[in-house]
Parts: sequence; structure tokens; C-alpha cells
Amino acid sequence: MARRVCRPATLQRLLSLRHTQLPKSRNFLSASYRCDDVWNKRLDNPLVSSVNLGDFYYDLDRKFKREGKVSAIDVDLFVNRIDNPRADGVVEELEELIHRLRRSPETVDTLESTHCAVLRVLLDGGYTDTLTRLLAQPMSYGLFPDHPTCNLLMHTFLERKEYTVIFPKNTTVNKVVYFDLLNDHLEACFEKTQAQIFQQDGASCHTALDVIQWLDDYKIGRIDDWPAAARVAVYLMLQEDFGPPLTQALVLASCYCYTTTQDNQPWEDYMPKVEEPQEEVKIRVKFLRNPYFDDHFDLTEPHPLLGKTLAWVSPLVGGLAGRSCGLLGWALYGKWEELAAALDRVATEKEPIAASVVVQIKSLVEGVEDVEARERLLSGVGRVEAAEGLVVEQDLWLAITQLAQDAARAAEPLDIKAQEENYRRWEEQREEEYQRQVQAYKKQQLLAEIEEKKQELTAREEVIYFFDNKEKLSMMLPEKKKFYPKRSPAYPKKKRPREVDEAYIPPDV
Amino acid sequence: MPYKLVGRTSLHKGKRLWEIVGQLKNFGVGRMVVRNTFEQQYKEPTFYRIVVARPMMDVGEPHANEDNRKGRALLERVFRGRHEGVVDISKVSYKADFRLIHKHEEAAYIEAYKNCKTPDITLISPVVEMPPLLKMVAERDGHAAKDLKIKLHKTAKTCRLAQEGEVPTKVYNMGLGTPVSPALYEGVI
Repeated sequence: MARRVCRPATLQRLLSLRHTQLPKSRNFLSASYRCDDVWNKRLDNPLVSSVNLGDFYYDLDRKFKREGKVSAIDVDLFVNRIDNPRADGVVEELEELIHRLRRSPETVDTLESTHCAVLRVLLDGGYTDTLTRLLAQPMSYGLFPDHPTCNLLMHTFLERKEYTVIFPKNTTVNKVVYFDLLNDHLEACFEKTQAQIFQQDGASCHTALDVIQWLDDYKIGRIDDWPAAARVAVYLMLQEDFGPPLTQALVLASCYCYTTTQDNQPWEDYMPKVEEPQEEVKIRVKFLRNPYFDDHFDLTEPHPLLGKTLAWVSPLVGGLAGRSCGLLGWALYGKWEELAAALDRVATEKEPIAASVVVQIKSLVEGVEDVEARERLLSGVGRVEAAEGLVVEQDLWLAITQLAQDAARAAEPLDIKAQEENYRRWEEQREEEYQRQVQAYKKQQLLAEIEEKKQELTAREEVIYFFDNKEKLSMMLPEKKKFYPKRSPAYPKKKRPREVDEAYIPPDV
Repeated sequence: MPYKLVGRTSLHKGKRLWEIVGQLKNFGVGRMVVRNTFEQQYKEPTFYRIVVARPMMDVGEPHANEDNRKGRALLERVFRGRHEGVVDISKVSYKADFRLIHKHEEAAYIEAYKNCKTPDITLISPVVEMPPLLKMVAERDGHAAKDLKIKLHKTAKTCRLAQEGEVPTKVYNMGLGTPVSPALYEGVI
């Protein structure tokens, strides 16, 4: 197989050509932002290193099934122990544990490091689909990463997309066949279809280590992380916490990147679905709930979500990029009054916006059903267009990247320091929590022992003082049940002989 | 065919507290929520700020919307423009009547609270005259007291008893007082 890999020289040439057409440089952060050295130090901690993943999961599973309890520190130790995310079954076990912890009252004790560790495992293992799924369901998994982790996630996903090349979806084949197929046909297909993205799903043959390695070697990104950066941005919007300028710029970049791409990108709805029975089943509840849509957590469609994110983050970012994205955001979100107000603001304050956004807004506004509102909006857009110097021909993506790069340059050293500090603090927290847990177990054990001892002493006391307390004890005995014998069938009741009236004369008929 | 829920209707519109809290980082500590019914009912600002939230994460019956009902919630409450401190609202947290206040709306609520004029506290005279019959009995039995002491219920918030040296704004007397519509009492009083 190794011999066959030498073919894609042409492919590489093609890829390098294509790179010039794709937006340049999404490399905002350096490799040191990951703080891998400090992060990996957790494995040296005897507390973590002493854990054997397989056995530990088995123990936790048994404990859960027996007692129905999950402990936050146990889950944290398990997650932090994972050093090879691509090992068989680790991610499934991880998901199960996180879910159990979240759906139990112990979720309030979840350690800070758990969130970060889970996401880093999924990121490093390339399980982008799982990552977005877990992140999008806080009620079931409860992952709330901090800002540096969000930065890392968004940056990695944006960066990966740079190498992305489309390839038609494949049918299920095994690893070897798929590998041969890639080798033989990727170039041809690539040239023939003029495709730009290589797409594959999470089938086992696709995610096999060799295949992933091969794709990584030739810098071919995987499609499965396509909308993931936007997902992280949406998570920050739902929390209403856009953090420092670097995070804000990355949020803007992720959403803009997603919304401006023409392809029909997958945006799965991860809302948990309840299986419905074949026939109508009536369920008695105390009170019916009135239908309610909160326009925040209930949003599922990509456009309103990303529009809202853009609209909310743009005032924080400011500048031409901020203003343009704000307009785009309100248009995508479908809030036409806010869009009209924002357009008025642009017209009155004479602040320039990008031409590409105006085109996009126009196309979105034309889809408005209400004729009056559409006319008003179109006239607003027309006013902005007519004003001199308000619409400028500027590459918005370049402006956003510039913003992100500036912010990254300023924030990176500080963030790295903060992260290192965090990792160290988390180690201490873990140690403290572990000690607390051990103390709690010891206390519980001691109490159980004392209880056992007390029972034993009571039993002995009863034996020793039996004759002193004999009367009292006999009073405590249940009364003897009185035995009522059944009437014996040996002596059946005798029937009285029939009395005959001798004076009786039967009548004549 | 879907599940069909049968039960009593309610006027509540919104989400359970635990459905909001579960979506937020750190269980929404520091965030603000409101009860939709209170907002409709009172014109004075009424809102809560989450101090402690420990959801039970009960599963129940998800298909019947009977999950995420329990937990322990301590919230700082502003009720009808009056700050009431931290209160335990665990028992009503299951009501699907809560709404999250977005961060950009918080300032407006706090401003409204600061500008809200709470009604002045009424100072009630601490004593009230005896009823006529009781007065006669007291005189007959030779009691020195002529007045009765007033004891306010502890939940009374808009009034309190006047201390010594304070002039009470409200004095209660025996008798019928002035009726709201004197026309109806012509010839009676």
C-alpha cells in the first residue's frame, strides 16, 4: 500500500494551485497556543497516570449500575487520562460517562478541567461531528468551554477548512478498498468535476488511522469539521459571552465564513427527538404547557442562529467589518425592523460598509413576503447605495482576518500565560477534590463500621442479660396464635328424624 | 400518531427555571430571569437574579414534558419594585413561566427598579380604642387600660407601627368611619 501512496504528486500540485484561489491565511494563532507541554503534564501526575482506562471504565460502569451514582472527580480523572483519543471505543465510553454525569445531580460538582479535556480529546481525535453534537446539547452533555478553548476550537476548524477539497460521497467499503480508491481516483475525480471540497462521512473505513494519516500528510482536510467553527460561535452567542477581542474576531470570522459559502453545508438539528408510537397514546399530565418559543435557545435553523450571532457580536467589534456584519446578521436573522434601523444609522452617520454585504442583504430582502416592509427595506438599501462613499469595494474577509490577526498578536502571549495558569490551577483543584472524595469515602466507611459494631454489641448484650430481661423479652414475643381445630368430619351432625303428624289426612283430589 | 397530552390548562407561558439554567454556563449564576405572569400583572419591575442553582436533572417522562422539574434555587428577588433579598423559590421553579433576561436588557430592568417609587410606608397608631361593650366591662371590673394594643401580621410590608415620638399617619377608631359613598348611608349615619 505504501508504494501506491507515492502517486499524488499531481494532486499536490493541483492543491497548491487551488490554495491561491482560496482565502488566504487563516493562521491566526501559533502552534504554541495549544500549550501542549503544560497540558500533557497532567499525565505525569500520579493521580492521573495510575488510572487504567479500560478497568476504570468497567468499575465506573458497575458503580453506576449498582448505585446509580456518578462522581464528577471520577469522570474528570477518566477524561484527563485519555492520551490516545483514537483508541478503540474510548470516545463512546467518554460520551456515555459525560452524559451520565450531566443527567445526575452531581453535575453541579463538575470540575472546570473536564470541559476543556473532553473537547481537546475530541478535537485531537478528529471527532468533529461528536464534538459539535455534544456542544449543541447542554442539557444532555453540559460542555461549557472557556474562551481560550473556544479560540482554539474555532481556529483549528477555520484552519482545517483551508485544505478542504470536495470529493463525491463514497459508498461503504472497507479500509483497504477505500484507500485504493482514494489513491486511484482522487486526482481524476478532482480534475473532472472541478470540485473544491473533499467530503467523507464518519464511516469506519473513512476514519481508519491510515486513511486519516494519508489525508493529513497531503493536507487534505476532512469535511466533517465544516460547520463546526460556526457551532462554537453560536455556543458563545447563546451564552451571551463573546469574551476578549480575539474571541470576538474569531466568532465573526467563523460565522462570516459559513454564511458566505455558497455550498449547501450540513447543519444538523441535534435537538433530542422522542420516538413516537404507531397509534395515538394519551398521557395524563397535571397541566398542559402553552406553546412557547423563546427565540434564543429554541432556534435551530442555521440562518437565524448565525444571523443573531453576527448581529450581537458586531457592535463589540466595530469598524467596517463590524458594521457590515451587523447588517448581514439582522438580515439573516430576519429581524427587518432592526435591519431598517441599522441601515438608517449607517446612512445618517455616514459610515462606510462593504459592497459584498449590500448585495447579500438585497437578495435576502427580496425574499420578504410583506410587500410594504420589503419596499421600505429596499428603499433603505437604495439610500445607502446612493449616498456617496458609503458603499466601498473592500474584501470583508480580508478585513476580518486582519482584525483577527491583530487581536491574536496582542492576546496570544497573555492567553498562553493564562491557560498555563489555568491548567496548573485545575491540577490543584483535582487533587483537592480527590482528597475530599477520599475523606468522604473514609467517613462513610467509618460510619458503616461503627453501625456494624453497635449492632454486634446489642446482640451480645441481649445474650448476656437474657435472664435479667426475660420477662421483658417474653412480652415482646408475638402472642401465640390460638389454634381452632376444624370441625371433624368423622362425626357429622345427625339429621333429626322427620316428624310425622299422625292425625294428618291427605285431602281427596 | 403522536403522544397526546391530557390535563388542565394554565395561563403560564415560558420555560421551567431548570430548562433555562441547564442551558447556561455555571448554572446561570449571576444571570437574571423574570416570571412572565408577574410581568403582565404588575407595572412595577419584578425580576430575579440567580444566586444558587442546583438542578436535580430528573429525567421523568421527556415525551410528556415532565422532566427537569426539581432542584434547589436561591434567587435574589425584586418584587414590585421592592428588593426582598435572597429567597428560596425551589417550590415554584417547576412552573413553565420563566424567561431569561438577555444581558443587554438587564440594564433597563435595573434602571426601572432604581426609578421605581415604592409606596410610602404607612405609620399605624400602636393603640386602638376599646369597643363600647368591652369598655363598659373594663370599667365595671376596674381595669385601668382604656386602649387595646395593635399587633401587625409579620407579612405586612406596606405599613408598620409608629414608634414613640413618631406621628402616626393612620389612626383606627371605633365606629363606621366615613364611607366611600356617603349617599348610600343617608339616614343611617
